[in-house]
Amino acid sequence: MTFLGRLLGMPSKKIPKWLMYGFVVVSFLGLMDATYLTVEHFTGESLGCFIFSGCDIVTSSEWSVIMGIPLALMGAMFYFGMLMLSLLYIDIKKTFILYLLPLGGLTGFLVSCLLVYSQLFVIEAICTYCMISATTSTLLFILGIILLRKLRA
Amino acid sequence: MEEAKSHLKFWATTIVIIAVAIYGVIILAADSVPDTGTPDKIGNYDWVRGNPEATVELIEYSDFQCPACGGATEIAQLLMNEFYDHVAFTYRHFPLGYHENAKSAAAATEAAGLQGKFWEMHDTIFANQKEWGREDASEVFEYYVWYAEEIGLDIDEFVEDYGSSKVQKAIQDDIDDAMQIGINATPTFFLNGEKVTNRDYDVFRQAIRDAIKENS
Repeated sequence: MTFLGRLLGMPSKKIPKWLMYGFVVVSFLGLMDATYLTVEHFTGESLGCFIFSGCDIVTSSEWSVIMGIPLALMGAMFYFGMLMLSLLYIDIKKTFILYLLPLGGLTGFLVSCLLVYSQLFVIEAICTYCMISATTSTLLFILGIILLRKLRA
Repeated sequence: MEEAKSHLKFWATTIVIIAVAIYGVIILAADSVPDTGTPDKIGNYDWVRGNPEATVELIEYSDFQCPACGGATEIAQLLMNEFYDHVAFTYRHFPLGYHENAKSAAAATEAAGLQGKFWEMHDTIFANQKEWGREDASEVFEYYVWYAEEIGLDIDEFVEDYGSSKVQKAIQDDIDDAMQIGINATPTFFLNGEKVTNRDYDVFRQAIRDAIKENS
């Protein structure tokens, strides 16, 4: 049997409800934040210094687009994927989904580390909504670790 | 059959909730831009780059210490290189309170302007934004003097004008105008009185081309 076959045929594991709803809530918040950033990116309004809230030069910097695709949009797609996976598990309870969630959480966390590094040391400016996204991806990573531990228990 | 219905209900509800939430966020983000009034047309108190007689007016409210304004200046310069004969471009001061050197940089440009070199100082100040922008407010004047020497100003006159009430008034008038029309961020551009909401180079360029076409 192939690895995928073994994974698909895995017996279902007992996963606490709060953990799966945690994935849903955090992914949903991340999706809303990334959607907001995407709209700001396309309207070009985010780039500027505001009277009360300081400067936001991150979301429209050259670092905000990779291969023509805005990072904010990639973030929205990532959170949407994580949200769909968690909902799919809640609906069909297939164990293989549980292994994809920590993998997604790790990927999001590594990308976030790189982006926070860019903000602090390359662009030398902080974008509030990007930091919210870094927080949600870190939370997903932590939830992923907890999930993996439950799976191994 | 019941199970299929239950799955369908679950996904239909979920997708509706997500779609409504995304729609709400899009509306919220689009509405987060406050409306502003219309700035005064370019007058003889403004420093104009391009064709002062042009029917298309581009007005920028900006802060020399704002990083985004530095980026916007590059775009504005590219656009003015292309549309120099068709557009009158002016820079108005809106130094933000938390940029401690922004007002003094504005004073340096106004003082240079009194010797006919506003734009030379404007370009030099923006080109060296990271240099003087990080300096303490008490030390930054030295930089302005270096730049004044670099662009060939009479230094004694520059120093005198820099602290003059005429220069301070010019800056304050711009700030008062900006506050009156409700500007809350820099840079803010107006093209023939209309606020430019998308400063992406290609979009901005097209907006100027359209304005020239409409007014020719």
